[in-house]
Amino acid sequence: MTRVFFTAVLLLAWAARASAEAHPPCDHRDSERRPFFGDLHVHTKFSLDASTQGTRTTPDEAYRFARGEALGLHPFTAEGAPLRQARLSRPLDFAAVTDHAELLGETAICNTPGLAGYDSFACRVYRGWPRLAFFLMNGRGLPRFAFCGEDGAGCLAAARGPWAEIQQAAEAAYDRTAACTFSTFVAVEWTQVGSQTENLHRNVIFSSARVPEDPPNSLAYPSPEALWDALDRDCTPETGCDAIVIPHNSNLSGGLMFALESSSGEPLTAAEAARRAEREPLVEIMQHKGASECSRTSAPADELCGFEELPYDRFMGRFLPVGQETPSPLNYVRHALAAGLAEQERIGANPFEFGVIGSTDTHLGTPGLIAEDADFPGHGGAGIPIGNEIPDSLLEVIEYNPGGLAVVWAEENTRESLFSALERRETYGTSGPRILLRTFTGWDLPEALCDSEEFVATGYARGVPMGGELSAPPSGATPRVAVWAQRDAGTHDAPGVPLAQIQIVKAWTEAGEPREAIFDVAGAAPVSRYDDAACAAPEGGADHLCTVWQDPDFDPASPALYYTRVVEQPTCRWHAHACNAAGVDCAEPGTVRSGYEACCEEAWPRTIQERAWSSPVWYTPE
Amino acid sequence: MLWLALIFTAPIPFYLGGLEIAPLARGLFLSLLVWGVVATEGVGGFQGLFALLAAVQVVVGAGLLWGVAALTARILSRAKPAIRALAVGAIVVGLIGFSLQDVYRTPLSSTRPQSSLLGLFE
Repeated sequence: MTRVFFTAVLLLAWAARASAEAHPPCDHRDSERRPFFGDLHVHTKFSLDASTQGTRTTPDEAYRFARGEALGLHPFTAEGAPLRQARLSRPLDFAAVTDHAELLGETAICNTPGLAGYDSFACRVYRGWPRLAFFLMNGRGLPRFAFCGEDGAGCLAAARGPWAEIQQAAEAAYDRTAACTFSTFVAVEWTQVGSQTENLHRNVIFSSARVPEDPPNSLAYPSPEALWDALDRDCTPETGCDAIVIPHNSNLSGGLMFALESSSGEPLTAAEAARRAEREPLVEIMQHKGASECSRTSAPADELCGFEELPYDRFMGRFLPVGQETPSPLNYVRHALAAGLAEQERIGANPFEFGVIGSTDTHLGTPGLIAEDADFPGHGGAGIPIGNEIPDSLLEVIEYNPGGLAVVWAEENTRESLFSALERRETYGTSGPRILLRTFTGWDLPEALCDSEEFVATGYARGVPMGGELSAPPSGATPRVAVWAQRDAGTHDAPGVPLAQIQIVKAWTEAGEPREAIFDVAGAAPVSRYDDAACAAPEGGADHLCTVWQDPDFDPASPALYYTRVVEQPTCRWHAHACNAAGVDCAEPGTVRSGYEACCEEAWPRTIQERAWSSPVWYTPE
Repeated sequence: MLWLALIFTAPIPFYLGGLEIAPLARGLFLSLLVWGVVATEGVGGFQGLFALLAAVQVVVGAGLLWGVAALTARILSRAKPAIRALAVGAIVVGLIGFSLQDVYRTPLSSTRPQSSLLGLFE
């Protein structure tokens, strides 16, 4: 059995590597670029925390789900029939399965009869008591389990099985025809935590099928610098390999994700800062486990900062009363971006020159399942098993949400085109809706650009798109930001929500200290209260908004950046839909059944304003 | 006898990553699984802390239940032997009857977030 398994592994690896990266020209190539919607954070049954809660989705099934096929979800009957189904109302354009690199081999061994270690006591506990194994195995670290053999060689070898299957699934789902309907990336999650469970997780997205023989993991490479070293060594242009690293959940990092020092505790040097900016051009600003833009305590004047905010700042806070004090501002993207400007002034390089995306971080293998409705099955990020039947309760931890999407402005839907856009940060993130958002920033953009049919052509010719860097200013010039946003068109059954307003967030420095300001530039905040008992379509708002805004306080001697935030009219959060569907009326305690208590906890707003965040544009004085 | 009945039926909090409210016997069972893994696989990461946490809770829980049983026995010691036997029997039967309902919170189970005594060791 073991021999058969490893033969299959080698064949799969060969198949994945043998495929050429060449792609015929797409039937539809747009030199002015189009928005492609995707999910770059997806877990399947190969991730330990997904498997211990009963997820059976394979990478292949996850990609088919992303392309619009139905997927059966746990719980399963004794015969293996799923009791739930999910299906995207709109397929995605691209996706990446990002299973945890750590415990990949251990999980494979414990699930594969015949492999050495399958009959170990730890694997028996894994199969019989998966929830206990979730904590026991996730908390393992080094040394590896004894069943992994000497130096963990057995588990490292076993990890190549799922790693090969991940590559094969990405290859099989990638549309290499001229139709260019769907793209995939081979990817993996590097899953490091700090000593107090601070999240330092990063997704590694490979540009092509040329990838390292072993997925880089945090046991072998225990710091971000070590991860970058491994990629520098094992993923080189000479071998056709390239990769970017995308941190996520800085909101759970206890201030460590954007620390102003290296892992050795020393202040960042210019070389280290430049290296980070190059390796990590993007950050996941929104996902299933919360938004990371800003918080109510980090930006008290910004009313929109409490959006999908977690009540703790590290993983342990979910289980124990720790990390629930005021989180570090460096848990959040906005303040990290601003701090990066100050670092630019201090050391001559900006470590946090990153753009943003959203994704789901689904642990059910359901990329792009972002609908905030009563059918939301959860994403399983908390690792809680659902049991043998669908429980009469909320199906997700109350502080979690359906996650977001990554949006990429690219010429065509191919790996090459999308990866190039990811590298140049021409991306934005949404909290789920397919809001269209386009920005250009320049010194002499026409004030009436919104009225022009040449909005895009002029934007590219006389400015830079989101993610770009402004050139040196002409004398006396100040930056203008042209922003165009259009509401999510939605579907027949679920029309999109009108836009409420556009804001531009500016960060700059004064005497070396980071500063931030928010400007309302189009639309307006909602004035009427939204009825979360009915959860009906909201009134008011706009189908599209467009404006050209000029910075009123520009100082050419100070570094600055600008990013855009577009918010929709208020709608019901997922749990309000679920609570209403369950007949919960908080005014009548008798209707609040066990499992629905969170419906009536005031800490969780029943209405939200979904949104999109653009990647910033930077200005750096010469 | 009372002590044993309490160990197998009295719901007490027990934390091993998830907070269970279940009989100490279940906590002991889970602890044996943890100790078994540590014994066969060695200690790594947070596992040692996990094993220690389990041990402390088992010892404290057993002591606490012993105290409750001893206090009950002391109260009953003033009664006549027949009444005492009847009272102990009634308490034990009551505890068993109670335990046969889905009264225990067992989030560490992969199948039964709520459970009765009969489902505790599945």
